[in-house]
This record gives sequence, structure tokens and C-alpha cells, in this order.
Amino acid sequence: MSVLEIKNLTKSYGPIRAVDNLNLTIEAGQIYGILGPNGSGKTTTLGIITSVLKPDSGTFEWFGGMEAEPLKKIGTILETPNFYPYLTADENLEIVRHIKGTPNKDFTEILELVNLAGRRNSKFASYSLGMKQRLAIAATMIGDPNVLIFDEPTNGLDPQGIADVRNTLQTVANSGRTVILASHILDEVEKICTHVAIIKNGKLLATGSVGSILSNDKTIEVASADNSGLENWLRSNPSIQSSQFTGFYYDCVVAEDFDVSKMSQEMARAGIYPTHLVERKKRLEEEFLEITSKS
Amino acid sequence: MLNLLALEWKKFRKNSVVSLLCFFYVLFLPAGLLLLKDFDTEGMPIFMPGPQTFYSFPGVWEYLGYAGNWVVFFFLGVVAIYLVTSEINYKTQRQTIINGMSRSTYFLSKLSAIFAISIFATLYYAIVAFAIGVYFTDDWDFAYALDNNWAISRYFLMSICYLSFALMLGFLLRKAGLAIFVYMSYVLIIEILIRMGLRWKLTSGELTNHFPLNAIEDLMPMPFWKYTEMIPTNIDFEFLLPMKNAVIVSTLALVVFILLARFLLMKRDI
Ligand SMILES: Nc1ncnc2c1ncn2[C@@H]1O[C@H](COP(=O)(O)OP(=O)(O)OP(=O)(O)O)[C@@H](O)[C@H]1O
Ligand SMILES: [Mg+2]
Repeated sequence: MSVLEIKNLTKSYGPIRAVDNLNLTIEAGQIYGILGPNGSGKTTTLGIITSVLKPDSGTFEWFGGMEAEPLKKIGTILETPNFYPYLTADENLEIVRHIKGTPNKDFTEILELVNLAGRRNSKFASYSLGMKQRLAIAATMIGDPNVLIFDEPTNGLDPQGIADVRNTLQTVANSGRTVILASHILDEVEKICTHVAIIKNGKLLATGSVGSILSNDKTIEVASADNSGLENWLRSNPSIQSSQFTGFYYDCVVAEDFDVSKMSQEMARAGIYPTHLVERKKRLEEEFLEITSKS
Repeated sequence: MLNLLALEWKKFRKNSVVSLLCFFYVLFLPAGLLLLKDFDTEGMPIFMPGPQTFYSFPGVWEYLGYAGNWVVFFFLGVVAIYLVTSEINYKTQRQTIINGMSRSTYFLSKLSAIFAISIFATLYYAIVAFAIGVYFTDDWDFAYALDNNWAISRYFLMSICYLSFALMLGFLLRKAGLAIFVYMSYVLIIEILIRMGLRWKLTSGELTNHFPLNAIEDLMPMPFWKYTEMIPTNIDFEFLLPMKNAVIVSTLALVVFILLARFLLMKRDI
């Protein structure tokens, strides 16, 4: 039984197709990253599956339709932490607990998990952005849900805040729960997720395990004193699938069996001497840019 | 229902806007009447009532009820708008749905809140009216004191009607400022203008008295109008709806407001 099954989901805002015939199935235990550039429809999709937005057409089903109130078994942050500013952390969590209808009224453990136990009696309005985001994560834990949904949980945080939230996410992800994580930060998804769906303009471009999305191609970074000569040479070389100047060096996509030492010999023969030549595994970021720029 | 009310209580018991508005209601209901203490009858037509009738049975029910007509409309109506729009503003309405409460249950929680506020408002009115009446009436017994022409029930109906109108505008307009502006201006200006406009066209003004907010107002009308019946006049015009009509129109309006509010919540994105 799938945790979530999305079928032919479509929603438009006027002329904009925010979600365009989206199909997606998420199984138990998967850490599912939903990747897409700004405005690609991530939040709209999550809004629909959490019942706050109405789809134009299509369906979604939680837990195979076996739960009468599925959202009570799911912890969700959608875009921003939403709390009553004049209430404390404890009072806000108590409201969430009341809605979820779970018995445990002691929030010490989950507040400690997000490192907020010391400020539990301060009003939400007095919290920093990072603390607000961490309280939202704490709230998703109430009732020990099987599924967690996070929409850009590190948005607007400073590096320390991002690290803290990622650590918390990692802990959560390791706990065996199903996690749906929407983000445009690829690094985040690559580090945490087991599976990924790449969307753009509301359309699903690619989906599968992170390993299957990452092709076996490699990336070569190369720079030279004579960059225009290098560029011509790269263009004319058939084993270089693509090359792109980053400002410091060229990023070149090559096949798995590409031989870098041979490349440096050939370059020398052509009179181009590299000042920088590095081989590395292709990262999700490059894959993502490639997939989204093609469409 | 009580469970939902408990949730609303947790949400708003520490809210300063709601507390302040409720405090104003408690303060201004008796104050509104007691301000008339120095009411100057000198120079008034002979048939106008003196201050004594404001405070003693049975007049106190009508006069305090009319004061309540204003303070319920002003303070508690705004509370009802705020219960809806603040949750939209803080996005806690969204979060409540995300956390698993169905939209229809969420609507019930708001409905139970305005129901509870109306009961509180009515109880307070009944206690204050009774207390003032007992204090200022020389010779009273319970039967006389409570002979008030259904005043308590009319007051409750008036309260729940104002609050459901406000609730509906909150769901419709979503922004507190806009909803309060429309609420005030509809009741105080727009409906009156529409009625005046129609009155030129219709032969009888009576029909335009059946506009919903006017009917709600007439559940607890300005008592002075009664005395105008004593004035010989050539105006062929009824100022007030008969009580039965006011009750029927108000109840219909109440049902429409509630159904409309629920419809708006159920159908739209949150
Ligand atoms: N309420 C709305 N009214 C009109 N257009 C909207 C609304 N909400 C979203 N959109 C549009 O729908 C598209 C998808 O928006 P959405 O917020 O789902 O994207 P996203 O992937 O979450 O983006 P981001 O990474 O910036 O959060 C965008 O073009 C956006 O402008
Ligand atoms: Mg978004």
C-alpha cells in the first residue's frame, strides 16, 4: 500500500498552470525530495495534498484510503511556520495536540529535539526566524506521525540555522518515517533524500531514486590561460558532451569511461596547457539543471 | 461541540484584542444606559419618558436592550470578524486544516464560538437588566420583573444574528480592516441608503423595513419610537417592524448568513 498516490493532478491560477497533470506515488519509508525551481508548483502540490487548496482535476489518496482522517497522522510545514504570535511554544503545541486529538500533553521531548526547551514559555512573536522554523518542526512531531511534509524548511535561515534544521531533518529521516521534502536547494535533497521528483512549470520531468536520477556521467573542471582556445578545443572534441563556463573554469560533461590523463595529453598536443583540471562525479545539481533546462 | 469550544478558548483566551472588546462590552452595556441618568426632560414633549422608566421594570428591559443593540453590534460583531480574519492573517486557519481538522468541523468551531459569545452577552444583559430593575423599582415581584415581552430571547437572537453576519463577512472578505469597514458601513449606511432609494419607488415604506439588518435591529428597537405613536402625524409610515416579522426575517437572515459563511469556507482555497 502506498503512502500517497497522486493521479493526474491539475490546478491553474488564471492562465498559470501551477500543477499540470502530475502523477506521483510515494511508498512507506521513502525520503522523497520534490525538486523544482521557484514557481514550479511544489507548494501548490503540497497544498492540495494537505486539503487547503482545491485541485481543478485529478485525485490524491493517502494511505490507500484506509484512514478516515489521514492528515491527523501527518505532520506538515507548508511554506511558513503558522502559529499564534501571542501564545508560547507550549500553548501553541497544545493547540496542535488538541486538533490532532492525541493524549500526550508533555512536549518536553520534542522541544528538546529542536533545542527550544529553554524558550518554551516565550511568546512565538519573540522568536527568531530559526526558532520559529524549529518550533514548526517540533509541531510536526506531535502525535508521532508516520509521514512528515516539509516545504523548504531551511528557507531564510542563516548557515547555523540551516545546519541545525538539516540535522533535525536527518534525525527525523533516520527514524523510519516517510518524509516529503520540497526544496530548490539540491544539496539538501541530495544529502537527505532517497528519492526525488523533479518538477518544472507544474510538470513532472523525472522521478525515481536519487541514484537512478544521477546518471553515470562525470564532470571535468578545466581552465587554461588561453580560455578561447580551450573553448574551441572543447567544442571540437566529440567525447565532451557539453561544456559550460562557470566564470573560473569550464564544466564539461563526459561519459563514465572518459580518460582525463589522455585529455591533458591531447590538450598539450593542441598547445593548450590547463591551469586547472579536476574530475568529479556529476552532482544532482548538474543533473537538475540539465533536466530543467531541456524542458 | 464543547471540545471545539475548548479549542477556541485555547486559541483566543490570551488574545488582547478579543479580551479588550469583550471588556468594552461588559463596561459599555450598563454605561450606555447609565449615561442617560442625567437625561434632561426639560423642554421635551410631555409624552417623552423620564429617566425613571429607563431603570425600572419593565422599561429597563427595552432600554438596556437598545443599549445592547449598539454594543453587541460594535464590540462583539468585531470580535466575530476577528475570530475569523486573525486566523486567516496568522495562517493558523490553514494550519488547523493541515493538522487534520476538516473544514466543516472548523466551521462548527467558529459557529460554537459565536454561539457561546451570544449566550454570554445575553446572560450578562439579563443579569444587568434585572439588577438595575430591582434597584430602581420600588415595588416589584418576580412575575412583574420578568414580564418583559420575550426581551431575553429577542436579545439572544439579535446577538447571534449580528455575529453570524460578521462571521460571514470575515469569511467573505478575509481581511479584518475591510470586513469591519463593510460590516459597519453596511449596517449604518448602505442598507439605509438602499431602503431610502427603494422607498421612492414603492408605495409603502413598510416593505423596506424587512431588510435583514433592519429586522435584526428591530428585535431590540429604540424605545422612543413607541411614543411617537402618540404624536398625531400625517406621515403614512411605520417606523418599526412588528415583532413577529422582525423575528421571522432575522431568523431567515441568520440561516442565510450561516449557510453562506460555510459555503465560502468549504469551496475556496485556504
Ligand atoms: N494564490 C495564487 N494566485 C496566483 N498564482 C499563484 C498562487 N499561488 C501560486 N501561484 C502561482 O503558481 C505557480 C506555482 O507556485 P508555487 O508556490 O506552487 O511554486 P513553488 O514551487 O512552491 O515555488 P517556490 O520555490 O518559490 O516556493 C507560480 O507561478 C505562482 O506564481
Ligand atoms: Mg513554495
